[in-house]
Amino acid sequence: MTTYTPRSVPVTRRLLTARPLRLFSGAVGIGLALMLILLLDGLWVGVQDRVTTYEDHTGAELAVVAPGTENLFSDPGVLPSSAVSRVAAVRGVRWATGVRTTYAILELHGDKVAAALVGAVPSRPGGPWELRAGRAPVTSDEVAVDGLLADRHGLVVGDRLPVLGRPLRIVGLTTDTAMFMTPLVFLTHDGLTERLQATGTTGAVLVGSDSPAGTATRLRAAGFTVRTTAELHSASLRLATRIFGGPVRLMVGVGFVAGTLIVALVAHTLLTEQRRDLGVLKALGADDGRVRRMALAETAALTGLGALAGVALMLVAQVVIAAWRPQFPILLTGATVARTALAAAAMAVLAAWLPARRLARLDAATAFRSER
Amino acid sequence: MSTGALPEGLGGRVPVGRRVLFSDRRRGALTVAGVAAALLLVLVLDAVFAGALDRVTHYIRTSPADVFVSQAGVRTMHMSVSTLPAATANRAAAVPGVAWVAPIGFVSGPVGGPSGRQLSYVIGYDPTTGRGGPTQLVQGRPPRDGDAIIDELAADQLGLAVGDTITVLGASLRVTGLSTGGTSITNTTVFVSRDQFAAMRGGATSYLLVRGDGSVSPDILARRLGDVLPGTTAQTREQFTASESRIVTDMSADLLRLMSLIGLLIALAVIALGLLTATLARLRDYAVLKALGANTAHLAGTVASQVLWTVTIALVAATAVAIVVSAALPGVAPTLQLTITGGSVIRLGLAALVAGTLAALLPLRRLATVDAATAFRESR
Repeated sequence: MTTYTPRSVPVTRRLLTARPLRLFSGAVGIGLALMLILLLDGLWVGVQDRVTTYEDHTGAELAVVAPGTENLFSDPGVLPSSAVSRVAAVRGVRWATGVRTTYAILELHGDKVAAALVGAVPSRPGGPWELRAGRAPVTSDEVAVDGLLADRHGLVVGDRLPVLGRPLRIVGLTTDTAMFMTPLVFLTHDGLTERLQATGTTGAVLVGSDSPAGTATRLRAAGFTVRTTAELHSASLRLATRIFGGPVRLMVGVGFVAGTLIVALVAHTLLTEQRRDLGVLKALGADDGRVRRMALAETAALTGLGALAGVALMLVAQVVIAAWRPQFPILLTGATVARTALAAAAMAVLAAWLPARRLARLDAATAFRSER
Repeated sequence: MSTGALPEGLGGRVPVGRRVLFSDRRRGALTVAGVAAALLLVLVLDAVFAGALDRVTHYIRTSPADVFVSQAGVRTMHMSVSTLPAATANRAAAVPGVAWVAPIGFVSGPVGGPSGRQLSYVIGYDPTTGRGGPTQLVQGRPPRDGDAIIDELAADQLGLAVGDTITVLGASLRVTGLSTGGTSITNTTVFVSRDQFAAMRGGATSYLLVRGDGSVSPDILARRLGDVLPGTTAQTREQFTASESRIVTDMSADLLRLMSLIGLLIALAVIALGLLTATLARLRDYAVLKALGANTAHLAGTVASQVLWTVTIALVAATAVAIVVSAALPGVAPTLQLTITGGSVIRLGLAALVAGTLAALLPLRRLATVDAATAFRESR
């Protein structure tokens, strides 16, 4: 005589994997929506990382700027050239050098390219910090351009780049100098001053100091407007957030809605196809709660698979975008993944609501009806 | 291509595609809504840039000047710097065909009020003639020395009203008037007198605004000015506007392409998913149609009509939502202007149809292999 041993049957898993093609296409659909959220979030993190590139690499602890100036590129001020020597004379200042910064629109092969121009004194801080070819500019008709900008427009060392109406000779290609949408282009301080027709002035004074706090106090006491590197960094971030934050949030919101609808579509389709099976389970004694939990588990599992697909698609997209348009910095951080996971969980909960509601009304007699 | 209706010989035209798509109304609605959300994504981003373009070119478009003169190699105002040689204005005024010349100072800098700080274009003009100044004052009067005109949107955001004190390029000025149309997602516009501008940033002229006397066309006038003014670029208002627009379009092109591609991929995935599930759920019906004489081309027509229905309804829904969002946005984010253009909707619709056609390949493949005998088999 054989004895019957009750065993738990992984019904949810079986229902979920009954149609692998459907499951796969559903997971890919959800994955695409999650990839979009990951991509937008990653792009935003990348933008935040990139917009402060110059401020993070000047090597200065402080910057003396014109009154009211908070950002080196978007609101560049004007200081008299004599400010450099007066700043250098303040106790605590290890070194001081003038630097000029401004945005400009370059015309390259018929395209308008926004660039961040830096005029630095040769061999002093404030100029290019890493070169992949050539050298930093030394004379006023020389320029070093961001390597990615050069690659995109087929520029090489020795070519001429028109800057503010004058063709300058490219003597170097720089690395790690692509700010978001505005690559850095380095000239000499005199070269940029000449192009701006601003003789006798500088834009800001970069300051090196071993005791920045005390030096900043003394500089302020001497009547200068002083910004720490951290303040310049924060100002750039604030500006980027004000400009790009709104559209990015709007796009993430739309991506979230699209993702939720895809999860809902897949969950709804699964439920519709499984109505008879679920009816059988009800006829066998499964209560409403059990059936509803199964639907929720299926939706959650589906979203989980979609999340995995999303991460995989994102990694592929990251590689493709890095090769296609390297100027778009996309950074995947733990926080980005966590935020997207949270979005996926919210999508699953929202999307499961519809099938769960329908299941509550599911009649056990469904199991015995002829299917059409 | 077949229309998705039954062939005439089968007893009249029945919109099979539409009926299959909406046989399960919830699934049909979710499919359309999913596609609409994906299309909305592309439409909104496009509208953000179109809105930015509209605002960025406002000063130039609404200027009474026929020709703009800038430093050689400088063809724009946005994110640009321009300095003209001192004698340029006088030389321009002597050119035949010129009615008047208005030199302006132009610089990018911060403005601040009680509620915060904004990036601004500061324009120094001659308030006695008004040339180069705001096109329209919605409140107050033109500036004298120590005064400033600010955009009404910026005034609202900075918590300023006429009579209040504003910080412009580090100097404290009194707000004497409010202008309109000069605030974009990136910056606002502040107008001061030429003397005030010179006191803050020196007396150099950045741009010349030139009005013709009507004896020659703006093109000829621009050419004449370019010929006699060394170290300058002379453009008609239309050329200058187009050049300014190109900054936004060139800067946003790659980002738009990237986002459009993702949005359309999502739309493709949703359409594929919706069509596949709708097709598989009604496979027996398709087999019946085959048994009644419909060939694969007719069945393909039903799928094509489902694509057409899905994309059309989704596009209409996405456009409607985008219009609602663009109308509601000023209350939430006044500087973020969404401009939905007909061209953008048409381009998106065509791209979505291409994506939909690709998405239909999977269900089409399944339909091509469906066996008419399925219609007579017992279900399950």
